[in-house]
Amino acid sequence: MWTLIKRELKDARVVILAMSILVALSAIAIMASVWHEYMTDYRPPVGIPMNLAMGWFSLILALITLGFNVMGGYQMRVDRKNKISTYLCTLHASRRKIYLSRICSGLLCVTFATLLLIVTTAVTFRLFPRLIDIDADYLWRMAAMLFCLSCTGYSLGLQTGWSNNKYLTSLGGAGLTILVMSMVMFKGIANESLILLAVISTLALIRAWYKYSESSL
Amino acid sequence: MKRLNKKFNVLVTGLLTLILFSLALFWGRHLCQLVLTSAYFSGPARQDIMEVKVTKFIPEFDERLKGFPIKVRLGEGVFFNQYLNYIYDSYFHDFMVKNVRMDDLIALDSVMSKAVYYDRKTGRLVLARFQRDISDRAVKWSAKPIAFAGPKGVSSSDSSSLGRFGESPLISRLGSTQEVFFFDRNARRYYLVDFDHKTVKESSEFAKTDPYGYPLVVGFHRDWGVRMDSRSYAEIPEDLRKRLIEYYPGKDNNLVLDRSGTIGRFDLNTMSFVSHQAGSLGDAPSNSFAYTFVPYSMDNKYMGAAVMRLNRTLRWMDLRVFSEKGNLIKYEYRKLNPWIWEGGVTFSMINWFLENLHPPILDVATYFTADKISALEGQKSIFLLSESLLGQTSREMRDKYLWERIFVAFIIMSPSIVLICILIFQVNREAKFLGLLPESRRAWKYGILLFGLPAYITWRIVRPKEVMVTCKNCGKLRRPEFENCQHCKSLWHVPEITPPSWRVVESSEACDLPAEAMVKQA
Repeated sequence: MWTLIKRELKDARVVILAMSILVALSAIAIMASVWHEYMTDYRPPVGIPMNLAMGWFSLILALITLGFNVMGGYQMRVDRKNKISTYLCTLHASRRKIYLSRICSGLLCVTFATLLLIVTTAVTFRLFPRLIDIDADYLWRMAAMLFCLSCTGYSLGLQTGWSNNKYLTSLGGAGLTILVMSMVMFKGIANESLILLAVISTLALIRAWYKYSESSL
Repeated sequence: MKRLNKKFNVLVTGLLTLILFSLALFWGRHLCQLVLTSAYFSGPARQDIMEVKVTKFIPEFDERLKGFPIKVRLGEGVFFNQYLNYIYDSYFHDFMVKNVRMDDLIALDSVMSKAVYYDRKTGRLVLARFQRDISDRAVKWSAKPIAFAGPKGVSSSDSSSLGRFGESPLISRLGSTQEVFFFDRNARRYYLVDFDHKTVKESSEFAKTDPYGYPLVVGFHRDWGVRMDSRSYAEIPEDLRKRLIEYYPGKDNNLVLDRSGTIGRFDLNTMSFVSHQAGSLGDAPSNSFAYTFVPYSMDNKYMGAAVMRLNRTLRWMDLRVFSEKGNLIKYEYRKLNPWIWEGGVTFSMINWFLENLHPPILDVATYFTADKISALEGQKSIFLLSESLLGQTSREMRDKYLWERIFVAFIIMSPSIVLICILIFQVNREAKFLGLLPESRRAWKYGILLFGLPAYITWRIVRPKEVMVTCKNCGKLRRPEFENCQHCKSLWHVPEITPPSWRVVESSEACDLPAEAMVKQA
């Protein structure tokens, strides 16, 4: 299984590299926004900085979610195009194992990105402390939202990626991801949004599995 | 097992389609509402200003202000912003209001050096001095606590003997760094913390059943543009203008709005309600799309309040003006009609059509739950459309006969019913053509009857996609994996392929063969 996961990660190294740059830039953006506010704003640093709150959602969250959507789509598309599963199935690797390893590689990347941004935020607040303690629960919710949205983006990517039509893969996946992301705009980061995202994510993964397992290799 | 798997696949695809389709529909309806409201409220409604002379509050100045009537008006274009705010409320509220401002920072003085905040760890209010030191290009902020306040008193040092307030206190928007008035949701008491005199006053405990034991707003509330007309306000003689203050209920009062829409006047000296009926919204806040209540004071004395409300259907707004004693002294209303705008009818029709694309089973659920969902939640709901035409009708016709209600609901849902009939017909035809079993066809029919268009999309996604061949018996297309043709039930005539007794051989190969074998082959 671990070999398969390693192979998945190696296959998607281009996208993972791009995602790593994106996440690193996001981490820098988080630090820079808080630092800038701390140094230049004449208003006392209280609560979650507005730059950070807006940054997480309007830019970082959207870009990372779309990035993971591209990653999911890329993995499936490359598999179909280069007949990777066809070859792997001749080496005692079942489709179930290949698909599971693909999900594991995606989840690994999502977890890594989320953790990196959480650590960055925690370090930033230690470097530039707020005058009043921040509601930690709130930051955890933001992290949970990032994780759930990224997972949803990734699973929708897997679902739309297993197709011969490359326009459907790229535009369809991005369209669906934007549609799901838009829900957060009016539902906020409430439990309802998190549950709905988890449901969409699970359903998309199951649907992608059916598409993948039922098609001829 | 395979059949069960297939059913599960259909279920998963259906659910996913339902969620994504409902989301897409939400944005379609939202876009229609945006166009409707923005065009209407920046166009025809712009002239529709409600003019109410607030000077009626103040008899002693009525004569002097006769030439300068203060008008309360609906702000131009404010509604559009309000609508946006409501839709994106969670997004903005979570980030900008709930955590950044209201919960943490209760009051900040004008030079931003002193602040009152609620300490989540200790449960006490803290008055602190904020300081910004700049040395060697480095900036360092620090907070130095000056006083701590708990239910038991105010002290310059923090101590558990001060007690603790409950989490998320409902703070008056009129709070300052000297005086903070709030409602403690846990203790169900109102508190007035005076940091200058180091006193804490508390009201008696309110019962759970008491509407003021569960208030919604303390101080004032401003959703949208009900305010003094700035032009008329500017024309008032300066000495009077200084004495007449908007959004301030006087020194010793504060207003409290309960969840039924009644406004009470709270006396800060006696820590009890002077009047339980200082004003009213006319309906529950949860049943209003937007509302504003603004107190007025003259020479620090409470003079009355103006209350404006826009109902949840966005078709009715009213303005009530209450005197100091809570008597209604002026009531005006406007019926809002977006249809008078030339594109109004088109967009209303599109909106109605989009509502009809919603799954019928959710429409039925909406019909029975419309009055239980608040206006704000209804605007943001994806599945239960309590603000749709059907939801509105359900609320408005609550007292009518059942047959009347059902008849009207059928008329509203008529496009949906027609669409479902067409879809059922289409799916039945396609399913027959594809040779689905009668029970499968029936299941799809029920599915479309309950879920409408999303079910049809699901059908298009998961229907059998095998390549068909022509039947030798009836000439129609038949499924190759079935034993019998799904149309004429004829058997699958598979030609029996028998290998020929001869075979072509290479000349070199032929030379190697013995003569008898050559003869046998021939």
